[in-house]
Amino acid sequence: MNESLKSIADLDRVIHEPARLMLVSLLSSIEEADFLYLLSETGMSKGNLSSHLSRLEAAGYVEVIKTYRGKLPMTLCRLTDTGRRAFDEYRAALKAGLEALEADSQPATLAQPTLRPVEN
Amino acid sequence: MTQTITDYAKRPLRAAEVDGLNEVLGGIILLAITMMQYTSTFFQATIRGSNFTETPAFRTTLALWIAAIIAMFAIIYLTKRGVKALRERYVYPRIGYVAPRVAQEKRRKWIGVAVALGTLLFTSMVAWIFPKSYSTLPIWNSGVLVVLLGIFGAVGYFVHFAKLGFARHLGLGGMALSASLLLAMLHLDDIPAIYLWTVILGVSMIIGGALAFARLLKVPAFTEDDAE
Repeated sequence: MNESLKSIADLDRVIHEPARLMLVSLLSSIEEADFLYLLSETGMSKGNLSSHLSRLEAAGYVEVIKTYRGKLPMTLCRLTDTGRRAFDEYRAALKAGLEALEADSQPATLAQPTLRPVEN
Repeated sequence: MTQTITDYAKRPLRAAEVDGLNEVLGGIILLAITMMQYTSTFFQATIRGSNFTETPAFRTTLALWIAAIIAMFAIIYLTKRGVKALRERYVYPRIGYVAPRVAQEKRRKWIGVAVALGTLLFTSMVAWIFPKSYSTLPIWNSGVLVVLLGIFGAVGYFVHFAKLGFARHLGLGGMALSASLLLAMLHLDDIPAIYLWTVILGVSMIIGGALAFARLLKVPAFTEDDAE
């Protein structure tokens, strides 16, 4: 198997799913956010967001804290250290894989002729 | 992907500014500091003669100055508490709660401190390089300091606008600059002109922030139980 293709096949599938990739990207750029913020930013439905957060929580990538804001329930979410490391590794692997694929697909470059001044 | 993540990183900063409460807080702090500074000018005016500490005017203004300092800290503390309560009651149920990364926050605070110190240092240097005889210089008049402040204020707001894209920052930048130019044209002394400028900017910040907050209140509030 081509090594560049293999690195893509080895990508972390928990993160690679588009909705979870969106969530992890979002959480990687912040300290923490509540469920409402994640809903409004991702445009997912409540059920969909819950299920993806549960999957990320099960993998140990996201910490979910159930608390209250006044009398209203609030769910706080933050990326764990494991989640941050996994996302960094995912990005590095994806970048390396795509760069290798791009390099493989480039046609061989021909040597450029050297231009010399014309002598009269 | 790096670009997308940078965009994502900007969004929580936008979310922190969208309610306008930071401007309201900043405007109130600016007015409180101006009030404290203004009372200190009365205080300095009573320092006359060798036994000035025994004059009633000195004692009165000293008490006024101490009260102003206490009032300034109390105003800042209460406003911060008020902003936090307003956010919990009205903002988070509308746009959700997000905390920017601590490193980002620290960086922003350091940039703010550096800009404030730079402004102070620059204006002090200008005042030191052009001492009392500056009025004889053709490029100098009593409005130069306030114009410099106006330029710094405007640049700060324009940079803020470029980073976050809120039109009110553009308006505040324009206000900072135009107010300073207007005050310079009135040929006031430096200190009154600077006080007036900070009052104009502080009031503009409070109005701009309050309008943004009022606009946000039109967005319906919802809870996690409502969300679908």
